[in-house]
Amino acid sequence: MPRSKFQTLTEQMFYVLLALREERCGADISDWVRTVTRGRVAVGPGTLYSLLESFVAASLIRETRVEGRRRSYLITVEGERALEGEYRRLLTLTEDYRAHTEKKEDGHETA
Amino acid sequence: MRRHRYRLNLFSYCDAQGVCRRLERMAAKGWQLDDIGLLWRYRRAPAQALTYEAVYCDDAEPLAPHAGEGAQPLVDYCAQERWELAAQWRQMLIFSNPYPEPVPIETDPQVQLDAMHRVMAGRPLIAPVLLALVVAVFGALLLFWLPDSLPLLLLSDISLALSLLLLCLLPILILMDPLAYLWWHRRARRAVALGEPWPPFFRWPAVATGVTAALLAVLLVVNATLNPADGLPTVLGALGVLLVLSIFYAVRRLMRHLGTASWLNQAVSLLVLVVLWSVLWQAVLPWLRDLGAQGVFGGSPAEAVTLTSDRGAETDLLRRDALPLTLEDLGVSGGQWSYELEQHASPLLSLTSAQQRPAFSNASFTYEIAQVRIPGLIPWVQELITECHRDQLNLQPDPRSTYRPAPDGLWPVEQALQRYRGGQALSVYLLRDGDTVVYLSLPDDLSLTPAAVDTICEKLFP
Repeated sequence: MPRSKFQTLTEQMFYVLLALREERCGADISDWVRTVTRGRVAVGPGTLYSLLESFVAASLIRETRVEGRRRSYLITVEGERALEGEYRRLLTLTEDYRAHTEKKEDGHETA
Repeated sequence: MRRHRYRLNLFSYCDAQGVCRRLERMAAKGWQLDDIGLLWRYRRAPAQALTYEAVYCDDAEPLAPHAGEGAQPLVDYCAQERWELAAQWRQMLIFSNPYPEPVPIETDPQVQLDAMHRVMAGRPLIAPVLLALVVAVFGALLLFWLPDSLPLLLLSDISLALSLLLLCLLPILILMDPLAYLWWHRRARRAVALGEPWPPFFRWPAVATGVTAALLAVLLVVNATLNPADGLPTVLGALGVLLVLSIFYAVRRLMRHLGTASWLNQAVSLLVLVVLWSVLWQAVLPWLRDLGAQGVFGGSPAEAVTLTSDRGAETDLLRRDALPLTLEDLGVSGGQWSYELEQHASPLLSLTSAQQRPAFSNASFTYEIAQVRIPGLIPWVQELITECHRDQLNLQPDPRSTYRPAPDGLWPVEQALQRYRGGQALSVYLLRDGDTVVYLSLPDDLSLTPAAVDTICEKLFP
């Protein structure tokens, strides 16, 4: 079954929303993501542009300032909720993984 | 040394990956993209390992310079990562980067696919579907209005056959690319969901369109060489259509380079198209027809004759001398006649249709001569001629109308049939001698003397 839009977030979506917990202009977001993830995650300019457009359309972020060609954005309450939802989903995944792994290790030790 | 190189664009609009790989190969050979549309224009540059990436942006204005205001943030974000806007093909923005291993423009396949589909689901999908619909409706209306003699005309007139073939193929060719995209998109969506690389786009729709167009062009030229009277006007008409479309595209490109607003560009170029199309339709094509009637492309020239009677005057282009047989040849005294002659020839069939009728009257002397060049086709042509000259009753074939053998010895030909309605014999004959089939409808008041029969056979069975 296809997932509904932004029900789960990709890595790039997650980090762009995370970056916009502070007001940032589009051009600074890629640098921030690269720094925070120590180069593990790169948000390409095309992806960044599409994501900002889609997030504004879905009211996950809002445009705060336009200075010449620089546009700044900030996360909205809906955006925070989406980020929180993704965080919880990832937590559930890691908890399930941990529980399953521990059970397997216990089983091996008993055997 | 050439500074520019032009190549026909044989890529589908959906095939961004194919376009980029091609541009990278050309850049390595020392040709960098300058402009893209129906033709690719390259400029000479030092051979360089450039990376190209294409982005579909629904905010880009297809006709605005530098993709328009709406796409500026994207261009700026790309510039930050050292991607330069190299060219724009409608809403596909093509960027190049001279640095090794650059940050890709698109890093999320799902987001990339969605952005692409937002663009493709608009004009690139809707416009061809509407165009194919218009062509199909036009074709259906044309088929409805075409004469019963269409099969005979198709056998004898290659230009008409090619035009009709093009009309049938056109909706398929127009729809091939959008359908290929929809199929590809479905596969790409599945691939993205499974974390697999995108499937390659099919190149065959664009290549098939190009090959079909080239093939039709070659056939038209061959036909024009073999049969200039029919073929040359068709080739000139097709060239006229191409010229109009080229001027339309040139005006759009020029206004884009001049920095004209997108809406103004759209309005002016459409106006130019409508004006040029009207000139072509109203002036150039009738002029070509007149040139044909004057015998410029071959065949005998027509003469302008004004026919007058107490009911008024008619001016017509007549090809009296070209008629193989006239009523005057049968001893009928001259009067206010109207003469019509149509001749077509192909490697399969040569067809001559002639009519002579008194001015402002429908009672006529009509005949059709079919010279069949492939003997196996003779029975079929005979059948077709019978079909298209069948008596009609309330738009249906009249069941009372039949062909029976003509009285013995009347016609000195291999086969002679006469039409009967009910039990009454009509002055209508279907004659065959060798490879020639003749349909002949004589005026009711003409007495068919042996001398008249001899003249008819001598003139119609050369």
